[in-house]
This record gives sequence, C-alpha cells and structure tokens, in this order.
Amino acid sequence: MTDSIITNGLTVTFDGRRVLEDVTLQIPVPSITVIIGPNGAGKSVFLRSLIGSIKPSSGSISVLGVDPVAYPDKVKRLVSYVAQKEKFSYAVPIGVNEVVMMGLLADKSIPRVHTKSDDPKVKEALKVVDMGDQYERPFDKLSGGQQQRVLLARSIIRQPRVLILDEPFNAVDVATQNMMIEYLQRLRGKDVGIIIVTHDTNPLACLIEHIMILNKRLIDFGPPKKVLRPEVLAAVYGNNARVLDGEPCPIIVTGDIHG
Amino acid sequence: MVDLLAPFLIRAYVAVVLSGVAASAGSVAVLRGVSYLPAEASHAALGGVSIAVFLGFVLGTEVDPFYFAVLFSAASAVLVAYAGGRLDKESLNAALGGVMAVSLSIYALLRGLVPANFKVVIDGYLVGDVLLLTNKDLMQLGITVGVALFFEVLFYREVMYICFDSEGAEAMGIKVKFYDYLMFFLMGLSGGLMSKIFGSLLVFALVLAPAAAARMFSAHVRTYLINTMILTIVLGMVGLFASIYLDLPSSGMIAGLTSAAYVVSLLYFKAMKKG
Repeated sequence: MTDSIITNGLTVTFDGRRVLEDVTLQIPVPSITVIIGPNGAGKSVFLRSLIGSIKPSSGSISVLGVDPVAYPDKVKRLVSYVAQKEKFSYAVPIGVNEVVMMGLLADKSIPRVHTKSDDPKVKEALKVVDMGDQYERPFDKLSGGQQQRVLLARSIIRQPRVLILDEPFNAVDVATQNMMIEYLQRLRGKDVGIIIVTHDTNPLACLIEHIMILNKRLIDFGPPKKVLRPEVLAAVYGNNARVLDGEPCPIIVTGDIHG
Repeated sequence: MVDLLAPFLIRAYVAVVLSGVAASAGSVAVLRGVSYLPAEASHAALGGVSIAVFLGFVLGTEVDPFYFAVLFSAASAVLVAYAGGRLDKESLNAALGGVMAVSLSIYALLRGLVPANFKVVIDGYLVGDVLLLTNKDLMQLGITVGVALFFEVLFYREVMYICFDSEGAEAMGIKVKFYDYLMFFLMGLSGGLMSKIFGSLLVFALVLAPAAAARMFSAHVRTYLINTMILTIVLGMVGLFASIYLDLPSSGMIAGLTSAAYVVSLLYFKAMKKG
C-alpha cells in the first residue's frame, strides 16, 4: 500500500464553475499537513474529494493506493473525517454515547446492531478526549469545545490511517484546543496521517510538517519554512501578513485572517 | 347510547393506531429539517386522487383513488428531494412549494372537469372522516403503514445519522442520497395515508403538531419517535371519543386536540426555560 495521498490534476466543477483546478501534490502519510486559503478557496471540497464524497470532473486521486472515486467504501474505512461543527443539526436529540457509537456502527452491516462489546470502546474513546463523565449527556447541551471533543472521539474510535479535520478549532476554548493538539501529536506518533483545514496555523506551528496553500489552484505545498514566504502569504491573507522572525516555529501575524 | 364496539368505530380505532405509527414520519421530517413535507405530500395526494377520479369518469370504470393518492404523495416527496438538489433548507423549501403548486393545480383543474358525484370522492381526501373507513381501506392502510414501519426500523440508525450530520454520515460510508430518497418516499407515503384517514387539510395538525410537541420532551431520537406515536394515538382516541359524545366531526376534534397539545407544550417549555 502506497503511504501517501496523491492528487494529479484534480479539478472539481459545480454548476459549470471550477471550485478546484488542476491540483497536483503528494502528501506523505504519516505526517501533519495543514491546508490554508481564503474563504471559497476549495479547501473543504478538496477534503471531501479525498474521501470520495465529491467526484472530480477530471484528474485522479489516490489515498494510500486506493482510488476514492472507484472504491469510496474502501477509502472511508481508511479515513476519518470531522466536518465543520456548524454543519450539524441540533434539532436531533442525540446523546454523546450515540454520537461516538456512530463511528463503530457505521462500519457494521445493516441493521447495525450495537453489541455489549461496543460500550467499553465508546467509553474509552470518550476518556481519551477527557469526556468520560459525559457519556449519556445530550450532545446539544455541551459547549462548543466539548462537542468538538466528542466528534474527535467519534473519529478516532474508527482507528483511521488518515484523520481529516475541517476547521476543528472554530469556537473552541483554549483548553480543548490544547488537548486536541496534544492528542493529534500522539496520533502522529502512531503513524496516523493528519490533514487539517484551518484559518489559524499558529496553534499548530511547531507540529506542521507540510502546508498546502490553496486558492482554487495549488499556490504552494511543502514544509512551512519553504512555503511561508511573503508573496505566498499575501495571496492568502493580504499584504499585511508576515512570519515573525526569531521564533522556533513559523508564527503568522496578520490583520484579518479571513481576508 | 353509542355502541363503542360498533364495526365502524372499531375500524376508526384501528385507523387511529395506524395513523399514530404513520405520524412518526412527522418526527423524521422535523429531524431532517423538512417539517412541512408530510403535509405537502398529503396535498399532493389530492392531485393523485383527482387523476384517478378523472380517469374513472373518462373511462367509465372504477379506478381506486387510494393507490393514486399514496403513489402521488410519495412521488411528490421524492421529487422534492430531487428538486432540492443538495438538500439544504432553502432549496428544499423552494422545491416543496413548487411541487405542492403543481399537485394543487392538477387537483383544481381536474376537479372542475368531473360531475358532482365524482367530486365527492375527491373531497373525501380533502376533508376525510375516520368514521367512514371500510375494511378494504383498513387493509390498504395497514399494509402501507407496515411497509413504512419496516423500513423505518431497519434503517433507524442511518436516518438518525443523516439527520444529525449528513456530511459525516457520508464520510463514514453511509449512502446518504439513497437513504434521503427513501426517507422522503416514506414521509410522502405517510402524508398520503393520513389524507385518506383524516383529510389533507388536517394533516398539518395530525402529523406536524404531535411531532413538534413530542420534540420538546424527548431527549433521544428513539424516544422521540415513540413519543410521537403515543401522543398521536392517545390524542386520536381521546378526540374520537369526544367527537362521538359531543357529536362533532371526529377529524376536526382530533386535530383540535393535537394542536392544543402543541400549544400547551410550547407554553410549558417556554415557562420552564424562563423559570
């Protein structure tokens, strides 16, 4: 099995509009890769293409040697994906344990019966994200940070080879952010590939191995020190952005990161 | 003194129970963010019934409107899912309005083309009467509710996951599009059934009101579906008995009770939140 994610000329079109254009790169697995780019740059589309949820109009994708267009189910067993929290429906009355259980039951055959051996796994996953005492709480009663922890637990219970997170630090408290970063670091140590879309790379500055800069087209890809040059930063954040000098890891200073 | 075991009343009891099971579709509609879908489907049933009655009139033979009603309502719901494209709320609401407009225009047009004795059949689906159901009606309703319940139980988890987080469900390998279409089909089917039992006009009150009320005191999806069923059946039975003893239209009485239950639940939970 190839230990990388490869896209070759990846192009995605919605309603005749190109949202992703000719993206060619190779992300090694394991590694921590961060994707940045302005709003509407196609970051989420890129992630969803990797798991086969969006079909490219041209180009090819290989995730650990598997083509997600031809074998989406195979890829979905290798990859866990955490969507942006804003996309969840809080009208659904669902418990914390049920959310995490989804990660296990989704891989079972219909009618996806939950067995007694599943409960300890759910408890363990919740414990890992410091949510062991919230087992039966309604999901919508949790804070934003707690919800993000539960979603992380749902992803890791599937023991993925690649973990993809779309804006995981949006509206989460510092404690949750730190806990998540620490945990991501541990996962990286277990050879899990991690891909994160974020507007703010600074919390992860010392962990990032590759940065992918996207604005429909691939602007640049590589180690942070190589990629974070003034002209590249300007393309994403505007002319006020710069990398702080003298820091051990590249810290980006900017006015309005949403551009 | 009314004989509570009279055959027409026994049929009405069974119909109320069946409507309770079908009303769980209202809960699914609330969870999926398309609360109006079963009501839209029940109005679409009028289009189907009108076609059946018109065909019967033109061909000079009896065409059973029930199958046209449920198929038309289920098809209209699937069409909403299709027209709604990416199934976001705005597209779905626009599609709901569009499909309902088509169905109602068919109804209005064809109803005007048939004589009065045919119009009565169409109007039976507009303002239904649970006391007028026949054994054949019950058989048809029972089979259709049974099919809907089977799929609801079998795909309970898929429905829950998709309603909660459709992107995540898709990423975990659940065929969101397939289940969405199935979900919409079953919600449409239930809307069509309810129009047969209570009439299209009151489906809002009979499907949406119990589902909206039950949502306020249900902490889990499973209990929510069960609470909606129980609430619909209990209020249906109470309304039925009340209508018999007060000599009032049964569908209207039941709809009045379910609407009142929603208003009381809403006021209670608002008061609880403030307190």
